[in-house]
Amino acid sequence: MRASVKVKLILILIIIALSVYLLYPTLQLAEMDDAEKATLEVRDPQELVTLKSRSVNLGLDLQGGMHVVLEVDIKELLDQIAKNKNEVFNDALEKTAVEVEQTDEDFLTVFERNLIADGVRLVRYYGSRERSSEDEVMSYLRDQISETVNRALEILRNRVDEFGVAEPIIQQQGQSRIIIELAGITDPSRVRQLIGKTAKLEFRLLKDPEIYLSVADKINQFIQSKIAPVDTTITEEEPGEEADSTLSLDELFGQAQQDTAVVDSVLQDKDSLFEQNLFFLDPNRQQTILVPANKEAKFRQIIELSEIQKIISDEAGDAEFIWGAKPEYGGQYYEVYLVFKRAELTGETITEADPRPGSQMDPSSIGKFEVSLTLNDEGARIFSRVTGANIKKRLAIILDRRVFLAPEIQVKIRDGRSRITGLNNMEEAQDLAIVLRAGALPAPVRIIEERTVGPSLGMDSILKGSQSAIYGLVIVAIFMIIYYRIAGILADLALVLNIIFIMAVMAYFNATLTLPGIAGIILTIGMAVDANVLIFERMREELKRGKTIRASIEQGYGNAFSAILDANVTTFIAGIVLYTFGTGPIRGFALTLMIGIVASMFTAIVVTRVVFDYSVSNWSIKELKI
Amino acid sequence: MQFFGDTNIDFLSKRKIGYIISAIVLLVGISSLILHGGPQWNIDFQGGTLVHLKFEKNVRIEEIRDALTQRGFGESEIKHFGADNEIVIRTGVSEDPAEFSNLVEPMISEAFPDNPFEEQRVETVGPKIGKELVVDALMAVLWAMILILLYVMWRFRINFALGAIMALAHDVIVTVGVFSLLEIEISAPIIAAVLTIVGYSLNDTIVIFDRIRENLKVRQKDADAFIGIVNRSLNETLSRTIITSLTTLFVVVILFFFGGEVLRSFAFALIIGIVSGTYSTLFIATPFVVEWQLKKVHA
Repeated sequence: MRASVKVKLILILIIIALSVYLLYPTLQLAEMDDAEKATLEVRDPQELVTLKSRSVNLGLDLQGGMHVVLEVDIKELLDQIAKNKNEVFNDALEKTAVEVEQTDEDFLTVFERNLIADGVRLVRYYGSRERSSEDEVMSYLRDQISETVNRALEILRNRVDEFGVAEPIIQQQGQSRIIIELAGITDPSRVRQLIGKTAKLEFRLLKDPEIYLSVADKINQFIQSKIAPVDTTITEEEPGEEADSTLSLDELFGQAQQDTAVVDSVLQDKDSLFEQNLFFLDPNRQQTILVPANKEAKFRQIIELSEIQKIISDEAGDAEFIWGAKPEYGGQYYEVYLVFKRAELTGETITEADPRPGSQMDPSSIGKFEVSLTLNDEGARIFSRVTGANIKKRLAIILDRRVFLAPEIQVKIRDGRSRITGLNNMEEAQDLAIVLRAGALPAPVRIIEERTVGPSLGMDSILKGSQSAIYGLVIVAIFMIIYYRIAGILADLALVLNIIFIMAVMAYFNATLTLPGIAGIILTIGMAVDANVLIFERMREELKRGKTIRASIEQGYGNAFSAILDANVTTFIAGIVLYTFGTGPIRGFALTLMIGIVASMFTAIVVTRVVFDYSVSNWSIKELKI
Repeated sequence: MQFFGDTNIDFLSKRKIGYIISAIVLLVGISSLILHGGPQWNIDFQGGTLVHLKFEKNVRIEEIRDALTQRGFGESEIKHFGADNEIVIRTGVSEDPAEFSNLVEPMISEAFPDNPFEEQRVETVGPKIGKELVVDALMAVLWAMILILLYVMWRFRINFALGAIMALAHDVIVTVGVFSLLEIEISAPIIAAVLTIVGYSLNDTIVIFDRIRENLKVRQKDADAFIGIVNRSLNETLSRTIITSLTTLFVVVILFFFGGEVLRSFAFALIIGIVSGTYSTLFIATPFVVEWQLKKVHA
């Protein structure tokens, strides 16, 4: 027996031993059920971490979980920190938002270009004594953006930590994106709420009742003026009808809950924004506008109109409409409030936020849940001053531009305590408390990509994937034995080693196995025998030409090598490209494919060869049946 | 055991038949693509939201549609997925991509109070991400082709490289064409499958090229002898071609039947690709090399 064969044989055994060693942690983990894992975590948390870092990870598509990509709203941020905003600024901002959807360019660059196209420079909105040149402003804005994203990352990390998810992954991607990966999530919609909320809490005063009246009156006149022309064309038989279709406020008040207040014989264009009875002033409560739930969308559009915006600024000055968080009166009406734009106090001063059941003293909060807030000293001082100065006025508690509560201030509140009421269940209250404690995001975030797999689908995928792999392995193995006999067994050995090697390499790199990754392994099973098929076919040819067994083996391996190499290199190239351009699961597939190619070349060329050589030299084989 | 002894099939004389078959298949595929206005991208590329729900009891698609219509999502595409108690709902892009996934759960639980369900999968892709994925996918296919072309040019000759690329393009168009014809959507994993097909088809082509290269070293290079050598090379490697295709096809077919609904179209793409890849080696890549050589000799 030649020495080189012996060396190779030992080398192969070492590699196999190493692979088994590398796979051991993975097998150990797979053997444990959840309870055992929990016990280990208590007993020796470090051990579990080590075990995990040395195993093949299961992708979110296999163990179930959420993959979310958030984008920090740069547009909103730039809007927030700008000074002296004007029409040009708003237009450029809107235009930029549309443009960046189409291109890969970064928001700031496009924004600057758009401003310059309009003959304005960034300095005008972002300049200060320290920043007078365009370059300085640019770098200031870049810093602001990156700081915002960093803060958003930190806050999201706090929220997720408080929510309690094992081993969350939260990282930045590119300039303004944040990736969050959470395994084993059972309630994705809760997580969506938790991470998507800006959690900007504001306390703002409502505008006075007289201003409500005049604004409501003007808006009503405006709406009627839009409806009137339609009336004349459609209701020609009754020309007198629309003579005074403008609703007086007395009517509005007196008959708010009845739909008879308006001319309802009029046929209306269904698509038109404008119709009767779009809103009422709440007859039971001052300073509250009610909008029927089915007309909500229309009214939302109407109040965005520039005419309405003008009415508000003319009549109420520094004010805006903010919607109530939930429909009231049995879900039939939405509340809309006219509030000051300026916030008296914001959520930054919150030190504690505790979820709890609604007070039993207040009939409206029985069965509901709430979050009680405690403010820090500074917050408490401001709160005390604001409440003291505005007794009998209403103060809106606004979270993410929705009014949760707008109580009338009864007394001066000195202890800095407040609460958000009317939450439907304890979970909602808990999640709200989490986001309020973790703080508001410096700019809104949007979910731009989400991939969630439920745990049962993940289990199902593992089961079906491994089933397919086993069936595939068995069929190919049987086929090879039937077709190549003894050599077939050898090829099968190579195949099994191949799979062990793939898994071992993945464990070593702590790589993630995904569903497409399993598919990659299954595909490798089919393709891995190719190298052996090439070699065996070549050996058959050589044997047929009457060469000796030893020479046939030599020639078979030698001549097949260039084909095996070229064929595998090209597939490997495809793998590299996939890995480079692919995302998530596709990368998993590319990874297993590439590892599989290397492993299959090794097993097919080295391992089977050594076995051939060993048997030929040790057992003086007379005949090679392939 | 052996399927083929020493075969002596004259593949090249039949290459015209191959051209016609390929022309027809490609024509049908491309027409279907044109009629459908391009490949049918799924939400990975188009943007939108997909929600996969598994109910305890069977549900009818109309019931789901009714529930969604009440909240203005009546336009959604609703399908059964694998079983009668599993539903996939797909909506287009909205301004807030996460909107639908947030609304769907309360909507459906309200409509089916006595049929609890579990969210199996939620996929939301914003329009911008979708565009990025399309660009990435096209770049991937393009780069794969360029790199492979360069490698084959280096290891073989330019006409071999072009022949291989022709075969690749053929396989990719056939696969995408069949998907279009059967109205199956192209998702991100399908792009991975297509790139695997690229790799596989090449694998196959290169084994035969390797044999031609080897046989050319030994023989003279006049035109008739060239055809003879190529034919002989095809015959010599035929056994291997069939066996490798069969073993690969075995596992992919198993994946198709047992791999679950999520992997089914992925496996299907591979099945088409493997059949097409094997065929294109014999009837596209190799004949191209021969035609090129004949032109050079006659010119």
